[in-house]
Amino acid sequence: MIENWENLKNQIEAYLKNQIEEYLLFIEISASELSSSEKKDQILEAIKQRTKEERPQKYLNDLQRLVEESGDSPYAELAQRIPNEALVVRGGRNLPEDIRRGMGTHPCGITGISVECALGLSVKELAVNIPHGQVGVTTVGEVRKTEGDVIRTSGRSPHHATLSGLTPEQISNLLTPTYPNPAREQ
Amino acid sequence: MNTPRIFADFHNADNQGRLRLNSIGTVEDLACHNIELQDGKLLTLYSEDLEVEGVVQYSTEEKLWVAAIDWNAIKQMDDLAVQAKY
Repeated sequence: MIENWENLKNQIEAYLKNQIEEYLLFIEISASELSSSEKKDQILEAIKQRTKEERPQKYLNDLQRLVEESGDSPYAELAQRIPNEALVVRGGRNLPEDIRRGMGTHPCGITGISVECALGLSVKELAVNIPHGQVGVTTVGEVRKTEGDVIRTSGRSPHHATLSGLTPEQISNLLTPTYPNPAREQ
Repeated sequence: MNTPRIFADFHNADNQGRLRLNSIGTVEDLACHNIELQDGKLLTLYSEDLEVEGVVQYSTEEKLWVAAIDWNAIKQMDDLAVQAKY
């Protein structure tokens, strides 16, 4: 998913470079029409210098900042790669059939199963919004070792994510055995 | 009044806390009961030992059907068994 963002960046960068080259060519042709050669060189050098200062990277940085701040872009969620150390929690028995029936396609287009996941939060903190009496726990790293992934997706809690790329059996293996939900204990 | 009992994934909710009705198990149960979703329809939603009443709505933001539920009204089967006994 991150590759999508990188590809987009590369495309924009190539487009901007091309636009700047065309702009410089246009300026050189226009400047050649000036009568004073001394003034022509000064103008040309000034424009080139300013263009160097406003490199495509600056535009790209601004663009990336805007995308991240807006949260509206389809790439905004995909760009938030969750670290391997983050815990992944899902309520219920997490048997393969339970997982299969819970699978679906999130409105952002990712197909998988809903989980709670965030770096630095405990199982109890992640389980606060889980109404089930038991929970299964794994890590993002373990999911990735099995060739799956955990992607941040919108949901009821800010820690909602979608575990994708694995079969119900593989997911069940990662999320069993289950334990009493620590957020529901007296 | 008996309402159709339909599977829902209680993890799969939108940012308003409404359950998304797009899980495989939900689609299977809706097809099994031959139910066509429409605004205001009442459903009994369950997942394993959990159960709650829900009102169907169409989410224009996410362009899918959801069910508004009271998260504090979710019952466990143990609770239901006790209620049935007394």
